[in-house]
Amino acid sequence: MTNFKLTLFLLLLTMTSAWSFEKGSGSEFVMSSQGQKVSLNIYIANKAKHNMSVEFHFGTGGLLSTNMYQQFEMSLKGTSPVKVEKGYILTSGSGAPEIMKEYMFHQNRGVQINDFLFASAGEIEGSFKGDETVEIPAGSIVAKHYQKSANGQTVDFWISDQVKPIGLVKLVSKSDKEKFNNYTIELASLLKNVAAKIDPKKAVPMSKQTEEMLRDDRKK
Amino acid sequence: MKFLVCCILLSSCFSAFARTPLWRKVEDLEARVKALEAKVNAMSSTTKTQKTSSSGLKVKDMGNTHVGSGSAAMRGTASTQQPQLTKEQQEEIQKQLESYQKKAKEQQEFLEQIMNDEF
Repeated sequence: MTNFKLTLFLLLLTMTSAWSFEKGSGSEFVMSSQGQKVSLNIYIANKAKHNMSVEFHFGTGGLLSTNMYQQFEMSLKGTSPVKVEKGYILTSGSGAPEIMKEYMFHQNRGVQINDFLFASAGEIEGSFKGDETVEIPAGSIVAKHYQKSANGQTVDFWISDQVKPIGLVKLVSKSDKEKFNNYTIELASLLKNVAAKIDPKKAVPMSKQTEEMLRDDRKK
Repeated sequence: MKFLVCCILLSSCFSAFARTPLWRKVEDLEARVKALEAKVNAMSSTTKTQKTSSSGLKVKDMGNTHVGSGSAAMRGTASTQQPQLTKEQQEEIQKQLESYQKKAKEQQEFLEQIMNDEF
């Protein structure tokens, strides 16, 4: 479940220089993966002159509903690429947010954070397939279709400046190699005035239990 | 002629009935129900409102609350469809609903009394 978060994350980052990020604004998505539906919310947790924090919320329904939050702090240096500086995770079982380990930002499987993060605008434009009308739970919208492939994973994504600051309208990931890289994400609604769940000041080092849980999650 | 007398008699009975304390009680109950409905709607709109953007897409205003915890998502339903209420608000609504149910029972008894009355 980690790879797609980073993929999304980078879609957002590529547009950092073009859009202004308002604290509390974001998008709510419906993610379908391996026959399950997950609610995914992405929003700006904090914004300063030289850095910005983005928070992700994953919520599952059903009797055994779970909620997980992740927050990433990035440095902003003018229009240059953004670097992920810190990451935090808050799970249902833990009382305090935990500090993510740096290796978790750089996994060498499928489409990677670097494919978007350090890609020039020209490289992204090279993946452009065309303008298309996309039907999503949030409504109907004309968006730009891009396609990116790496390590056996193909990601089709549609973006639009009408759904800023996140920009993502729809994303379809397919992979023959890794089961967890098969998923679809669709915009359910735009979000305003969302309060961040994770307070980095209260974060503690990551427990072995959480680290194992994240590893197990990737094995699926 | 008999029919005319019956009509006059019935209309006078209804107008007298309209002024009874029981009828006023029904009106009072109706007003309370309406007030309660307005209160529930107001509480829902202050915590989360759903609108449409200029591009026609759905927009959800979270009113500076978290997504997920304490919301419908935690109870296993879609967070997009449920208003977020605090524990105090839920207790107050529960109390008012109980009061409403009690009054509704009184209203039912009153209506049964009317039906059984012989003019």
